[in-house]
Amino acid sequence: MTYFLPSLMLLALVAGIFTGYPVAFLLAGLSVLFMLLGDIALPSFSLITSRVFGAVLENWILAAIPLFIFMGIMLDKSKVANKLLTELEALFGGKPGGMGLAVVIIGIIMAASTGIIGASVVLMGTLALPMMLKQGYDKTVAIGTILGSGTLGILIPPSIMLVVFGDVMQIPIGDLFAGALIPGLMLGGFYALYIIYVALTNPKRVPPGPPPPAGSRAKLALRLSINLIIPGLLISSVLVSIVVGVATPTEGAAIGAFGAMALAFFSRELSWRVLVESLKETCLTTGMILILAIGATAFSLIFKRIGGQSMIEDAASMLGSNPYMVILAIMLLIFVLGFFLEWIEISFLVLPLFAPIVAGLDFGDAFASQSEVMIWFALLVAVNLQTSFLTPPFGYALFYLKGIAIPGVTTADIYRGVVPIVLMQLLGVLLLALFPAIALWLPGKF
Amino acid sequence: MESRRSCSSAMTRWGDALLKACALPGRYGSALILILVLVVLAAVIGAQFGLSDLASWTTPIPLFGNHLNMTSIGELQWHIFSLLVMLSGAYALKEDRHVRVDVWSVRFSDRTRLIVDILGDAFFLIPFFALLAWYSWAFMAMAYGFGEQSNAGGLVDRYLVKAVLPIGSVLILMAGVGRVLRNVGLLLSAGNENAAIKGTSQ
Repeated sequence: MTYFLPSLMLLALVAGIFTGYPVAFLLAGLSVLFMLLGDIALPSFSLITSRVFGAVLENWILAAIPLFIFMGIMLDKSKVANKLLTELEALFGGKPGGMGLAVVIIGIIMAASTGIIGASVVLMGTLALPMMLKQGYDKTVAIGTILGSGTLGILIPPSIMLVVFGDVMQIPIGDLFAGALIPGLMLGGFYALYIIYVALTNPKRVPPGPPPPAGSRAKLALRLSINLIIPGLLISSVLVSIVVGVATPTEGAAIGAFGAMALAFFSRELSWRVLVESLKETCLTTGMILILAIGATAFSLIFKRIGGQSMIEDAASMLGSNPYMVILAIMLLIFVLGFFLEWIEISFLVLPLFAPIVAGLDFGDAFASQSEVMIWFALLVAVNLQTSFLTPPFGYALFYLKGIAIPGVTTADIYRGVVPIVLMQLLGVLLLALFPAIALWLPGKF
Repeated sequence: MESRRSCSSAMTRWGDALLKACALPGRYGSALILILVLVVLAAVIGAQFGLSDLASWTTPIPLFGNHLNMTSIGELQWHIFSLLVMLSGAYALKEDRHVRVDVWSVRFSDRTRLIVDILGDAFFLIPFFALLAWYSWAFMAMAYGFGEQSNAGGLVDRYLVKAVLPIGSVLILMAGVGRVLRNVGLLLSAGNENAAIKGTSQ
């Protein structure tokens, strides 16, 4: 029973999580409890103190998080997404499937919008779903499109999840952003192909809207390109500057936040009240993420101190020497954890335990360097988590969509609608696992 | 009976007031985000122009000492971030925004949920943040004693940024105490109401 205490600590964590008590404080409290049980002298708490200061507060990478959140909220408040949707819809109006494609495009562009799954699913669900249903879209197709596009935000940069991944796995954020772009666009492309396929085989399920009046098309295209280009330019300049290395993630995020504020201002959406509300919202989300980081820091420190790390390593070594089997096992575990945990807990708590194991795997000649392995692993986890959030019956994203209760949409509709999307996601994970170049090609260019 | 009810409602009131008071610094602290944006932008612009020393003066002031250079501005970024994080904790607690896994707890009764929060706050939140406040006070005092400052010639008075740890911990701790008081008050008064309802129906 050498691993009695660390097993007990994990068990206590699982049990505690299901009581619904805030995870951040649960983690923090368990660290104190197991210090006592593990007979660690109380003054060792000063180690936790200095670790919390060093790993969370003094951490300039994490300082990008409030800035990215603020940028997302500002973009949201500037109402570009709403304008884009109506304009794209009008442009594609005459064709079946047009509106579905518009939703996918907005999902990709506005992925920056929050990075918090719930928020973007709710945004897309309240904005686009009623419009699609009114136009006579088949519920299954509409719901699938919304869920896929709404969750793409955790993958497509600048995603705050990737910022945290980079921090805990010590991968340059620029490499992760560059690496996530092609997998993200690939998944977005899958959703678009799905809609086009339905439009070709069964156009009644994705009926066209009223065609735009003749002659107005050019004007519409102009207005659309302005609304599409400005936020697109803003986000891509932030991304490019971080990927190329001209700006640190924090700097890129600050420029983005300022730009998004300017955008909201010139769209005449930035009132004093909107500004104050957005700042408060950013502050609350920051508190939610970073207090959890503090709790997870304390938990991990004590967990390792009582032998948790070697327990995890021993468990991993039982999987044999095939590195792909180890990756598969970790992915399955993360997939299941994704049913219950947000990406925040997974990245601060679970990834730091597995990252050293993955770093020690020997893939032979499959990768040029160990840092490539880490980028590939991080993106596999990202796509895997997105899939997990979509998978019935537990997927987080499904609960959020249920929560906004669109009339006429039942739980069964949501489950049915998301199945094709989950299948496409699984295909995406598989492709990424078999062809790491999908993730590694772009970072290799810089 | 009557006195117990008024006692529990007083607990709820006081607990709520304490919770709100602890959340206040975070609410106003949200303006730090705007300052953070501006400071980072200043660093970007300064770097573009290749600036290094910006200003110097004779009388040293706290945190900045007697000079302002690009290193100070760079370090100011995580100073602001630290303060923001430690203030936001109690605010997010009051708004109940800390992540909960409610897969099962959605089926709990209100009463069960109150009990979970009371036990959790009393045995997890309060001990941790009490210890963090205690030990981070020593952590800050040490920085003060040694006169710790930037070793890259940036900001001085490192103890000031280390002080956010005990300050934030005490805020979260007191917010936790406030929430326990409020929840215990709610639990007692709910119990009383049930008893009262039973009393009238019999």
